[in-house]
Amino acid sequence: MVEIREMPPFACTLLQASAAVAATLGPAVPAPLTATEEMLWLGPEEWLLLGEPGVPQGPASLVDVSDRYRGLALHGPGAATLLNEGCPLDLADAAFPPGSCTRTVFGKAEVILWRPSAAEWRLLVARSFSPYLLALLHEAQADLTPG
Amino acid sequence: MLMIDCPWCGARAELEFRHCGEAHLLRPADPATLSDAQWADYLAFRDNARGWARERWRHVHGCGRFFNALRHTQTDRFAATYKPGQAWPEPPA
Repeated sequence: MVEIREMPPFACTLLQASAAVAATLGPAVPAPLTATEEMLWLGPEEWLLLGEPGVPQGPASLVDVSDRYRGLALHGPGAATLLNEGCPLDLADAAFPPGSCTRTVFGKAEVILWRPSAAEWRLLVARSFSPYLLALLHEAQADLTPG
Repeated sequence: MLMIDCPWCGARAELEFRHCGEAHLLRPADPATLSDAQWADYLAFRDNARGWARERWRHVHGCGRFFNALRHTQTDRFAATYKPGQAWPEPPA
């Protein structure tokens, strides 16, 4: 049984800068398609910073988007199967190992999918989409539950 | 599902992408010197090829980046995807 939990609100900042400038913020800059506890790769020269951001040394765009996202955390062995009910990505360990992070879609909602560890998956979704996403996840879970 | 190779993210499902029209269109350096017909041609007229076409695509639900693709408009086959600024590949024989 996969546990679906709403995460408490969190502070986050969207960073757009060159990799060299991003490195001056302090935390290690994650490689493409991966994330660390402080920084999520979203695209070339685009990251989501969690927590309070540092001050970049060089041209950069930092936008506080803390109110944009709600977080959902999924725990449990069947989480990848559950996510694949709405997400077209290959979520097998070989294709999406722990540490992976990417923007993708779930149903009709755009989500940031992040796998901090083997057993945990996090979905960041635009606030107004979170009831939709939550309902869809619960429906998928009911579909996958035998009996 | 049709998979498209994003130059930054690798193979992803088609529904993460958006088609953005013909690629390699160059804005005329000095539009004021063009005739109405030439300007209309730049703004509105496209090759709409039946066969191999060079197109702009955007990985809108992914890394968000634009890239170019060589796609067959009848079979929907993608022969190549490449970053903006890179030379365009020749269509397969």
